[in-house]
Amino acid sequence: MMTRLTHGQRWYEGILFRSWTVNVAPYPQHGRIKLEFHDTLSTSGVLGKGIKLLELNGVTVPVQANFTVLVNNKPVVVDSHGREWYLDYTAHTDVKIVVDGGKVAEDIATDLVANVAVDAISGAVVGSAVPVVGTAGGLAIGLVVGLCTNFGIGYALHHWLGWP
Amino acid sequence: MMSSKEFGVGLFALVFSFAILWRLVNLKTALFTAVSVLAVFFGWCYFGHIVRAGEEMCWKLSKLFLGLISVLVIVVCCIYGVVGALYIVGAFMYFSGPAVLAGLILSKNPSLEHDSGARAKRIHLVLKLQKLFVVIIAAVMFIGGVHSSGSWVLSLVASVGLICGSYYLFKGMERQAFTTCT
Repeated sequence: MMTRLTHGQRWYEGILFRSWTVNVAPYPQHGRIKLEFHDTLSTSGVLGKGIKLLELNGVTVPVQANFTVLVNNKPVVVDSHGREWYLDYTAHTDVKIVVDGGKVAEDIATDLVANVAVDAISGAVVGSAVPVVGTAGGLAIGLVVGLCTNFGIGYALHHWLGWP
Repeated sequence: MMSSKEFGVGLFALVFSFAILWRLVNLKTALFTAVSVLAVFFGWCYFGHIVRAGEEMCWKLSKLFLGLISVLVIVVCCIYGVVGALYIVGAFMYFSGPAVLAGLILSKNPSLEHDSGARAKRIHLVLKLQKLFVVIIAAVMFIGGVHSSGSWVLSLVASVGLICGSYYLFKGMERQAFTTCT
């Protein structure tokens, strides 16, 4: 069942950009705006592979947002004259990217330390079960192998795939 | 010798800390962390099952954790798709793989059978190292929680909850399955 807008109620596009929820008839039901961001358009290939995050700081990129307003879960309303109003909208705006260098460094450091620690323990677990060397020897060798594997895989991912 | 109280306290603390993590960061991170911790438990139990052939409790607990992990993988697959589920499976292999591999090495090496002291030492070392994973996960949980939400108090509560829950669960499992280990 379509929702009919009654007299005295206004429907104007501007409100879509100011609020996530729009009051519609009949009271007390509320319509919802569902936003779906599709694409972030790159300018001069800045969002390519293996970018340096801090270089993105201050870059402005155009963003397109397609969204549909759902009124009582319907993407269309019918006014008192029987006309149907489909509520699909597209908005364009420019977004300035702000990169917090401190947070980026913190992220990378946490990730690195956690990876190194987990790989070292993994190596130690396997190494301590190896019978040829003693328990302590296996533990030490496992630690070293785990660390080397970590750095090897990390370097390979970064070198060939640009991760991170 | 029932340790149901320890299991209850441990599970409650774990669920509580994952719920806080969900609130602090998001559901995906909470599910990912939950699977990582369950993988640590699974690795620990399955290692016990391999090195102690005939120990039924270790095998039962392994199946229990595997079942829980499977449920979470299906949930993640439904919510976040196959790629999200693959990340979860990767975490499972990452945290349980070393213990399983160590168990296979230990069980298929006849030279260690003759020296039960060396074997016992290695088994205890692997079991202890496997527990260390939980500390790393809790540390990452704390830093990630503070980073995402800014609330270091809640992040600390979540991390301490994870460590306490894991401690009680390990304790309960040790009582159930490793009272006569090695």
